[in-house]
Amino acid sequence: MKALAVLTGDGHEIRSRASDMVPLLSSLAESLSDLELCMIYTGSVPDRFPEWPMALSRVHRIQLPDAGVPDPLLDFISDMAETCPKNLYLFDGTDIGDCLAARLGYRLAGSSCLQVQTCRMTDEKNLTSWRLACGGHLLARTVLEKFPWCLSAAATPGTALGWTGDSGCPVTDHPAAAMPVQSWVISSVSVPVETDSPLTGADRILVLGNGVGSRENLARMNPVAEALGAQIGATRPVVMNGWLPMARLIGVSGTMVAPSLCIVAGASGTGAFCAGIRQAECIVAINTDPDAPVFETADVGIVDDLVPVLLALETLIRKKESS
Amino acid sequence: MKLAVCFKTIHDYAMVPPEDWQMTGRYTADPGPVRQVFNCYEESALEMALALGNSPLSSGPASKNAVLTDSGDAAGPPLRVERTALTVDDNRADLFLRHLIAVGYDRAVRVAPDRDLDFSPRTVAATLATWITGSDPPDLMIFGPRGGAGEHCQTGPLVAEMLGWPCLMSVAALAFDDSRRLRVTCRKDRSCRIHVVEPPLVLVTGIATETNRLRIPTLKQKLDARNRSVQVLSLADLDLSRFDSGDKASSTDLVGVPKSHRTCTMIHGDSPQEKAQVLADTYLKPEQVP
Amino acid sequence: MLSRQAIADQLSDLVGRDRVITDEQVLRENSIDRYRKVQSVFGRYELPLPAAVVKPADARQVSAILKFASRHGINCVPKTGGSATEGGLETVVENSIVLDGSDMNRIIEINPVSMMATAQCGVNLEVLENKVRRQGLTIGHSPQSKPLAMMGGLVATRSIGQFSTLYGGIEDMVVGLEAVFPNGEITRIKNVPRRACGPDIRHVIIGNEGALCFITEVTVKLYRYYPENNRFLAYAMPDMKSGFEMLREIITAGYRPSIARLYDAEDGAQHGFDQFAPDRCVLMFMAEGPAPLARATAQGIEEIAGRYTGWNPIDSKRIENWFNHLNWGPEKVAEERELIRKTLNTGFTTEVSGNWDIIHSIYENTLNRIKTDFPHVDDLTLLGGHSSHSYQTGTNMYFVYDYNINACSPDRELETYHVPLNAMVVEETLKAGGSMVHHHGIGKYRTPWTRQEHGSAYYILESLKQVFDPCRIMNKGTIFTVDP
Repeated sequence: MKALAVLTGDGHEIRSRASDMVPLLSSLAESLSDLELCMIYTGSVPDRFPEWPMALSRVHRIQLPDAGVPDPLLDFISDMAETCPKNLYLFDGTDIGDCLAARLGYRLAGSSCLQVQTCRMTDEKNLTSWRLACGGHLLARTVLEKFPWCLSAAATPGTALGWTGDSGCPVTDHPAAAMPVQSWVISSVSVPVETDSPLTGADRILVLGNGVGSRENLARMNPVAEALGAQIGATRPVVMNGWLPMARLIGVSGTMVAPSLCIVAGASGTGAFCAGIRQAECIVAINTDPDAPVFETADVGIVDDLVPVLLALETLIRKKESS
Repeated sequence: MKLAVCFKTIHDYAMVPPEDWQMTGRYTADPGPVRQVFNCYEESALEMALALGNSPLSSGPASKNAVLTDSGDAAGPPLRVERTALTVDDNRADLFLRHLIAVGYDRAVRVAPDRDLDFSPRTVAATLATWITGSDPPDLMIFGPRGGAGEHCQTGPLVAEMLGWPCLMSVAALAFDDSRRLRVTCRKDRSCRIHVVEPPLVLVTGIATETNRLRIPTLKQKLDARNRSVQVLSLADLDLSRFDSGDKASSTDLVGVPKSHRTCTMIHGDSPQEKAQVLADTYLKPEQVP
Repeated sequence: MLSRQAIADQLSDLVGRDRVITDEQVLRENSIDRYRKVQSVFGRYELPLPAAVVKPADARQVSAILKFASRHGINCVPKTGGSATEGGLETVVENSIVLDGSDMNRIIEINPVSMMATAQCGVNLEVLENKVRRQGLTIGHSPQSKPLAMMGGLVATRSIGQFSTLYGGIEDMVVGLEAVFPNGEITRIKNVPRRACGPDIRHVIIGNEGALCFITEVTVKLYRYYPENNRFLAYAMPDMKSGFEMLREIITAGYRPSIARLYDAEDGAQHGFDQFAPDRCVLMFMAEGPAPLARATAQGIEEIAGRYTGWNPIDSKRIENWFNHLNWGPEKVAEERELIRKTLNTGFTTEVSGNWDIIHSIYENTLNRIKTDFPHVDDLTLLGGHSSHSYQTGTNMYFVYDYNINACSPDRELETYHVPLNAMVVEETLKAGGSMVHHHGIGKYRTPWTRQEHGSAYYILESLKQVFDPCRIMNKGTIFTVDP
């Protein structure tokens, strides 16, 4: 089976999007005879490549004249499909990836399934995929019967993926000039996005609750956060004590966060607060009260005073850094 | 400018008790007696369409709210925007369609399906595309990103593909620019682009921070809307043959409940140092430390 | 008069600097409660800022603070969870102290033998309830504010929960309590099942709304918890009149369902009841308790309903699913703020009570009055109500009114919409002989009618204030008007 993987995400997004595709590629690895990769970019030419579980036979670096408009890309890929047809087109799960997977499936008279979590070959001709439906409460199984199959990959937390400067295969560049002009776009500009909080988009967050006890203890947590590479967040009692500014407030009335690591120390875990961290990949809770509701929302729990635990953690990280 | 917003109400899943999803035998998207609601993405699409062209100077029921939603509109008399709310659904949707008339939609159209189409994106798209190419075609079609309960995410892009229209994703705001052209803001987590475009066009909404709640009709508007009718079409009224509505390419069924509960692993130890050590070794892998 | 700075400094001397907060944004948020939710959404804080928020660690510190405030004539506003909706937490005079008991959050004892739980004032009700549930017990108190409210505030405001028809209001649950009076006196009313040793002095404290004393500790009753026996029943009624009739018949017959609620069509529609009972009123019950009792209660209700005609049955599972999401946690508060900001639509409630023979008149007269007299009736997006707490002699009526803020800027929302609507409900209720406040407390906006509410008995109320708060430092403007 021949496959083409398409990474449309750019910048910071591309790494996690490429990771999301690993489980799907792995489960199809045995059936894959050939895998090509398209990397779509707008800024500088990508010079690092994902270390996927199988070798690539070719990388296409495709420069898009306008990142917000996927239409020329669709024409480009369907042209490629004509000259060099594949059985499977696997897109990343960005909005653009979804759009392309749905449209290409229809255009090539194949079948599509989007936001796929897992998939496998059920026989020679059929691919079965699983994804979420009904508000994420149920699993939907789709049997894709018509070639080519067009999939997009759902976000899957926690899969670390290496990147390499060596593609290990020929690389073809497709400059933007090759793309047809989109006459329906009169103008298109990129505008900076204002992030309203230092917590938005933070990869690691150390959240301090009322259990931190005092302004002095709170000050001792700054170097801990620094060692962790984490932003400091706060629960409502902490900002209402005036210990940290409102911009640090996490929860439904503050910032809703989605870091990969969230250490919650000294917070009991009210509903409003927990709703704010629910999207975190890994939640570590530290609290002196073993019955604190925060442990129900956490992946990892420590029953202890947060101050000595976090200071010890800082020491360990600093030691590791220096060794 | 004529636009149509497509929506499909869903069950208020937040109200379904967790144990009710553990269905015996056959899993279904209809998990029992809870209310229907607008899908939040589509609610945002519906409000976005109402806010378009409603400058603070314009009259009409929506004008006061428009102050909040869009300050970038062109000065001068507002462009006439004719809005249709469109759904493929059974008669449970009529209550919602009348609500949309009450908040300012000019027309409410429901195509009654002959079967459940939650997992038949191409049939839904072909139905909509057929309606769009009918006697009074809109310039702009607006969709939410997910579709109904099936959440196949395909309806908007498929309609674009069937019509041969361009398609913009992650639309967060709509306005007319100074030259009365359509200005579409597409926004993702950390990027934002503003396109000035020429319809016809399909727009698929994303996270709209300013227009994510549909305005609320007054008692008077609700009363008036009671006397306006919802246009109901049957599939037989539409000739779907122009598009490949066959969903034979794939078949989908609901098969289970995803495993997603967090379980808390407790770290034990004799001292804070020991516990910190386990935390560092097990959960803060060296390569993850920046 | 002490300066703001002097107040903060002297409070710090009394309780330690860490317990005294003077951060300006914190002070702003502590100058109001949810009565001014629209203004807070738009960042408009018009009331005098308190001099400090002080968070005492124990009753002794409360005592020291109150003595200090009495000496200097400083207004104190007692507070715990902060879910108040009637202005009770507003600081209406300059340089007030907000006395925030939320740090006193220890659960002191759960006694499964004598069926009592004792908690400090800052213990969140939901936390306490979850804790006793792990022992198969319940407090039986479940106001919508359960995720936010704390024990001190619940008792101070005479709150009531959704299961009140069986368990009663908080006044039926309190066994004993500890409170600190403005002169610094720390008083503990002991926990006994019943006694005849003079008047029931608990009632001086329960419902005082922080205008007489500060509650530091509460002991409440515990009941066995049998959620597996809960049985919901629901009926679509043709109108409120027939709904009140059937409700009365069931309650006065001697049945004690824990939930007994009657919604009119307008109020029901905001909960999606129009999807299964369009233009109908919805009457619902939950029978609970030990299995035979729950069964008998449900049977009794069904039997009485069978004697009436004109109703349609409603799938009780639908009501159960809906009811289980009725609480107002912080998520809903945040969602509401978002809705106000985005749509300029907001809503409030005024809850009153009346005996069975007048409750329907109160309902009808009030709605008619608003429809006729309210100048901005065209901006209303919801006007209706429900009854949710029933008694042998009558029931409550919870009027609900939402509106688009259309005729004024958000700053003037209160006087344009909320104040006149609230006044019409209160006036019509008093005119008919009902009570103007059922369970939110008088707060600061129904004080013009306190005298009328109590009539000749106002003498008793005013005397309590004179005796216990002679310097009038306790929550000025609450229950009693600022200038008596």
